[in-house]
Amino acid sequence: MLSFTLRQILLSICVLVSAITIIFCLIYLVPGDPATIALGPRASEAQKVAFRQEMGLDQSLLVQGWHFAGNVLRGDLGTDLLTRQPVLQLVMSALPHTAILALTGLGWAVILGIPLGCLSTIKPNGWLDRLIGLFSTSVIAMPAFLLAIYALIIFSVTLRWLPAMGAGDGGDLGDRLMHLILPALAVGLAWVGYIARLVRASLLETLQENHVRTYRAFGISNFRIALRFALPIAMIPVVAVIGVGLGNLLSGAVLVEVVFARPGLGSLAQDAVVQRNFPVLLGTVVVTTALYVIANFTTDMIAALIDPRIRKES
Amino acid sequence: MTFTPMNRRTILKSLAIGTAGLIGADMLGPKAAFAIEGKTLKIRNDGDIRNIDPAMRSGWYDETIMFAIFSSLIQYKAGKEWEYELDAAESFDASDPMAIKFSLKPGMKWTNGHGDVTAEDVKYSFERFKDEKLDAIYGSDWAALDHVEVTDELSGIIHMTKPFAPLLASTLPRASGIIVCKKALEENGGKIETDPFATSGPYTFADWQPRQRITLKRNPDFVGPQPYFEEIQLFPIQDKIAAETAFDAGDLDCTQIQISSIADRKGGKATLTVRPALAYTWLGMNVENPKLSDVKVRRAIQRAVNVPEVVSATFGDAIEPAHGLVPPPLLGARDKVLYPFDQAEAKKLLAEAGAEGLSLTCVLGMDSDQLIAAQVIQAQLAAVGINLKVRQMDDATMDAQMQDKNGGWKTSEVWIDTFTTAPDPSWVTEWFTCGQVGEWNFQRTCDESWDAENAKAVEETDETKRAKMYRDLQDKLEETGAYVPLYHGVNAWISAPELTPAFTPDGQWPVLREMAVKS
Repeated sequence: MLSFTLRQILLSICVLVSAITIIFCLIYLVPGDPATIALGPRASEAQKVAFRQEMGLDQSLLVQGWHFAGNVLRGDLGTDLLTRQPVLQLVMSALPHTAILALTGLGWAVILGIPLGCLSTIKPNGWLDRLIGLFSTSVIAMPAFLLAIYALIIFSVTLRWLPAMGAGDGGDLGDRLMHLILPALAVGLAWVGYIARLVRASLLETLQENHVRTYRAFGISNFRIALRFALPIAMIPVVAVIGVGLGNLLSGAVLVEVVFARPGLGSLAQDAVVQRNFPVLLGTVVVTTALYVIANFTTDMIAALIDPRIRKES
Repeated sequence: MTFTPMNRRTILKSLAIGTAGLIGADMLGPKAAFAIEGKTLKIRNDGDIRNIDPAMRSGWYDETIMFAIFSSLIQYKAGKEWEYELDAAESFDASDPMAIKFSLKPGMKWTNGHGDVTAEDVKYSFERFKDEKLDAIYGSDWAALDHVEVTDELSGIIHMTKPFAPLLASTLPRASGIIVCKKALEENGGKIETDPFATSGPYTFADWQPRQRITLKRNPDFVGPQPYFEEIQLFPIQDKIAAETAFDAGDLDCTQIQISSIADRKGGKATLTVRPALAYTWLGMNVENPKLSDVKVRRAIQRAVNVPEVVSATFGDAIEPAHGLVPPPLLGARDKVLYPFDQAEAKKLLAEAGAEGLSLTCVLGMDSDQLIAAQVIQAQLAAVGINLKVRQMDDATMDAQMQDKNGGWKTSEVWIDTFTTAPDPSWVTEWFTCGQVGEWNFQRTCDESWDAENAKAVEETDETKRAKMYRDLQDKLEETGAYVPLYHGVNAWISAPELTPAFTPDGQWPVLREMAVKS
């Protein structure tokens, strides 16, 4: 297990460094002058030159990359070109909003998706299976933003049950929860269907295996076999997908954040692109990539814990 | 099979259509009774704070807050006319354009224990625009300032090196006329970024949660009339559609809306305020592009564009066509163009120039109204034999292409752009000088005599003469063939029915200190 863990850590670091390097190069290929945007149209060329010098934007890509890498290792993600605030502070204030949104969205998707997947396997191709299948396919096909818009119009604008914008008051947990319901519903619904379909397929496959037949031969009930012996094995691919899903939700929350005018990493990155605020964009990407890598590492470790074959094979 | 590209704008458009549908069907019903909670106003700000230093500010989103927390000698009145009223000044005498006398209201205090507001603060506030070390971005607002003479603790004289006509229109009543606290700034390196250090306006800067909320609280020490609201919460929401939905959900009491929402809002429960914008949208042409170097080709394009048709197709009857770059009601606005739509003349000019079958590319930003306008122009140019391709790109990319010092600008041909401006015509014409070629003069028109006349117009204090000068300057720009003024636009706001909203005459920003609830 130790060598498996070390190998996974090394792999995660390689993925992180490669991703950040590629993204760093891509960001600096984007046309648009940060100095012009930060200082506005009335700034003179001399003021723009001074600004570029002050922010290190006049240096070569290689030098900027070197400085950036050094700063990241020291825990410094640079300075916001517009407000001169530390990027780390901005990212860290946005991160909890996105993380809680992604976790809540995926959390309720897991809580609902796994039982639905299990129910589907009680009688494959029966009416319940078909009904769950129809629901799952429908929600998978429905874009999160569309759901967000309808939820907003129905629950916020028409019924006025839930707030339409923001993340709620900092100290008021109830208010924060109220602001979380609709965005979490929007980002998680497709995952309910996806997880339900995946659990169904995986569980049906596991139930066909020889060891399950052996359990049946010993007279153990189907319900106990499914829950106690088959489901943990069937969950291995599901756990892997949840890891990827968490990463996708972190980066994919942007549309929902925009619709709900909600702070978060997605909307922070989007504004940074529009404003050519490269340090903020890079800082957001670094943190998002790191979280993605951590999520994948965690799911790999969980899968290895559940299934000893994985750590033995690797 | 074709796919509609999915982006933030299409998503928010869907939201607007859905909400508009509900409004149309009156499904908001009695639930949509707007309610202002206590004495707190919740209002959209079109961006988050970037820099609230009067000399270095970034945009309207900063200025909306600055006008609420700082004082200035004079300020714009909220309403429909561009008039100023006294703010921190008890008396103000601008009868001599070379020496403007003022005296401050007694008893005005800085927050955070920085003492009284004095004439020394006024001197420091204005003279710092000329400080080379500060290198103020808005330094040109005070370029004609000689010095401020402090005559006693509360009085002084602003001495100018030459008459400066925009002083009373766009310097003193705007953010460049704001008074900052000398003591607080000297203690903090002479620059404000996002912390104002000390303020003296009707509101104090109570709290800022970046990208979430800016909270202002009533300043109990303010000497002037106390504002109605005890607290104002500004929510930085860039997109107007998202803000409009938040308004309909009762999360906001007031927000700016898109022009396309005006028709849906007419006769609705919310109070609709529509004001003519100080902005100008025009079709520009690069005179140094080989395809457009012949003035006859450019004139043909001017003649081929039917501006009233473009504006009507884009906005219905919500907006009037432009007759020049200077927007009415500013001094110098024109009432007719020199080269109006004439399709036969356009064809004739193209034939004379040997440019039949001309193919051009028009670039524009992500504004959906501009896209409709470009498509109408595309059809109009096709009618005279010009093939126009329309290419949308984000504003920063477009500006980068036009300003590319490595020659990228050579590929630019035709574009549609919008600039917003201040209530003085000098702010309109300053972008079309020789010095701005390669910066913001994308047309690359350059005439030194035009520049000289433009410089003289800033010093002219006779309004009739000055208005004529700006009309002449616009005529000369149109003569180059590189400009087709399209429209000036409007700014529209909706507010809760019980609110008495207050905006600048162009509706560019809300005057927070004058917002109140109907009695």
